[in-house]
Amino acid sequence: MSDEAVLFGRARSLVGILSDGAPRRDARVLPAVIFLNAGAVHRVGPHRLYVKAARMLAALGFTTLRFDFSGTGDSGPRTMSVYYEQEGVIETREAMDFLSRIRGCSQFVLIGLCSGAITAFQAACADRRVVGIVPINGRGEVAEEHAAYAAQRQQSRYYWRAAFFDPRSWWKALTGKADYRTVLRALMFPITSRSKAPPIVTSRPDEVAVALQSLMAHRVHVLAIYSSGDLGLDYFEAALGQQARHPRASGATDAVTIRVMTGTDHTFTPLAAQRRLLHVLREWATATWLADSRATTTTTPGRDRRPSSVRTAPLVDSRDAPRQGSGLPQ
Amino acid sequence: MAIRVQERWWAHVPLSTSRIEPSFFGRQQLFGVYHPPSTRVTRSCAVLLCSPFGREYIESHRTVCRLALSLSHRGFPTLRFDLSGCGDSAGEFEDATIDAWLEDVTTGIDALRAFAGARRTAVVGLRLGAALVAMAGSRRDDIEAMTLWHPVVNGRDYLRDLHAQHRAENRTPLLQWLKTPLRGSPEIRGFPLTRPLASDLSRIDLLALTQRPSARVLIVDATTAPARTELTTRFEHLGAQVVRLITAEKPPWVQPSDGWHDFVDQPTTRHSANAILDWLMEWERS
Repeated sequence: MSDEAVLFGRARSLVGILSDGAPRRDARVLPAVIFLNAGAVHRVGPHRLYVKAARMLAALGFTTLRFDFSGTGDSGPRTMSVYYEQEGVIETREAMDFLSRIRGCSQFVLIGLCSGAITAFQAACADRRVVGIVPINGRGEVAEEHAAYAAQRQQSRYYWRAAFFDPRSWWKALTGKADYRTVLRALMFPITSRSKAPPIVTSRPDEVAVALQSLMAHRVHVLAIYSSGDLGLDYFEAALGQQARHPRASGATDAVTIRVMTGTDHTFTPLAAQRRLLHVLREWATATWLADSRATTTTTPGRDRRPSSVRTAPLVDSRDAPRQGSGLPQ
Repeated sequence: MAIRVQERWWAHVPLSTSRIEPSFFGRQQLFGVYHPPSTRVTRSCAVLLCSPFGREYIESHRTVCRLALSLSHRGFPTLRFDLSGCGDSAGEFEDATIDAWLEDVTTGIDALRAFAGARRTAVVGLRLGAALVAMAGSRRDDIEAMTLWHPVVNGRDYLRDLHAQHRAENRTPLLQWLKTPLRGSPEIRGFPLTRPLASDLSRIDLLALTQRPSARVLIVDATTAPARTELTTRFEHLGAQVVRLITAEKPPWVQPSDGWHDFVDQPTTRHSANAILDWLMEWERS
C-alpha cells in the first residue's frame, strides 16, 4: 500500500490521503485524480467507495488524493466568509496546487459523489488544469415539489418492476402486513401523474448547459454517472434537454460519457452496484488515458514494512515556514 | 458514583486542527490521528479511541473526532484510529476478523504510548469498538480506565439488529433472500459480511469474559439497552469499579434528522461525550 497522510492548504488544516501511482514502464504522464467529499461523509466516501476507487486507480498508475474540505471529516473548521460551494472550489484548487508542488502534477481529474459532483463540475469550469471529471449523482438545487414527485415515481417503479413479481410482497399483502394506502398510491401513480411532472426549477439551468458546452469545447473528459431514478438524473436532463440523452447527436464530443446504473441507490449501497461503479470507472480511465498502452505497471516491492514502534509522519506542505515545536517523533 | 457533567466543555471546544498528526503506523499500516495535548499542562495519561466498523463507523466519525479534540483540549494525549480494512487503514474489509481487530487494538495501545510517552492508558470504545477494547483489556492488566460507549454486548443480538437494519433499508433480491436463513446476508448496509466475520461476531459475549477489562469502567448506553445491568454486575464481580450512565440521546451512529449541520456538529451526543470527559478527568486526578 502506498498511502500517505498529508496536511496542506493555506492553514495546513486540510487532511488527506495521498496514494502514489504504481510506476509504469512507459513514459506516459497521467493526470492526478482528486476525490471530493460526498456531502458530510469524510474522505473515505460512502461505504468506503473512495478508498477502493483511489487504490484501484493508483494500481493503474494514477496518483490519487482524497481529502476533507474544511468543516468535514478531519480537516479544520471553515474560515472563509464565502458560500460552502465556493470554498469547495477554492480548496479543490489548493489540492491541485499542493499536488503540483510535491509531485509535479499539471493535470487533474476530479471525482465526486452528490455535492462532490457539483464541486467537481464548478472547479473544472474555474480551472483549466482539470482535464476530466466524474460527477456521480450530482445535481443543483431542486424544487421540493419535484423532489416529492421523484420519490413517488421511484416508489411506483419499485412496486411495478420488483414487488409485483416478488412472492414476499404478495405474502405481505395477503396477510395484512402491507401499507395498502401506500401500495395503492404507488400502483396508481402512472395514471395520476399523466400530467407533466412539476418543474424541476434548476439552479441556473442555462448556465449549467453553457458550462458543460465550454468543458466539452476544451476537451475535458466527462464521465457522468447516475443511479436510475436519482434526482440528479432529472436535474441533468432538465439542464441539458436533448443533450442529456444523446450528447453526441447534439454536437458534443466523444469526451462525454453518460452512464445510468440500475439496481442501486444514491450512494451505491448494494455491493454489486459498487463493483459495477468501480468497473465503469476503471474502464473509462483506461480507455481515456491508458489506451494503446502496451506497458503495464511494474511490479515493485511493497512499501517497507516498518516496525510497530515507528510511524510514518504526515507529509506536511512545506510552502510555509515550519511551525515551532511540531513535536513529531522521528 | 455520580458523574458531574460539565456541559460547557463539549460545546466550546475549538475544532482547530493545528495540533493533529495523521499518520500510518504499525505492521498493519493502520491509519490514525494523534492529538497531542493542546494545553500547557500535559496529563500523565493518554487515551485511545476505538471506532466501530461499517456504516456505524462512517456515521459516528465526526463524534469520535470531536471527542478526541475535546480530550486533547483538556491535556490528554489522544489517538484515534481505523481498524484494519476500515476507513483509511490498509487491508480489505473482506479479510477482517475479530482476532485481527484485537491485534489492532494492541497495536493502537503500543503506538499511543510511543507517541505520547505516557504509560498510563485509558481506552474509549464505541459500539463494536467497545466490545473489542473490553476483550483486549481482559487479556492484559495495564489499561487503567475504560469507557464502553453503547457497547456491543452480545454478538448474535448485534448481528440480528444489523440484518434487520439492512432489510429495512434494502430490498434483497429474492434468490439471495432465499439463501439468507442458511448463511445470513452476505452484505450489511453497503459492506460485505463474510462468513468468518459473521461467525466471529456471533461469538462475541462480554458477559462471558473471565477477567475484568479494566480496573475502572464507565458504561454509557441507552435506556432501552437490555443487557447492561448484567454487564455492570459481571464486571463488578470480576473486580472492576463500574459506573453506568444511561442516556436518552440519539446514538452517535444514527443519522440526525436535522440534516447536514447536525451530522457535522453532532449536538445530540454532547451529554454522553461530556460525561466521558468528566469521568476521565476524575480518573486522571485519582
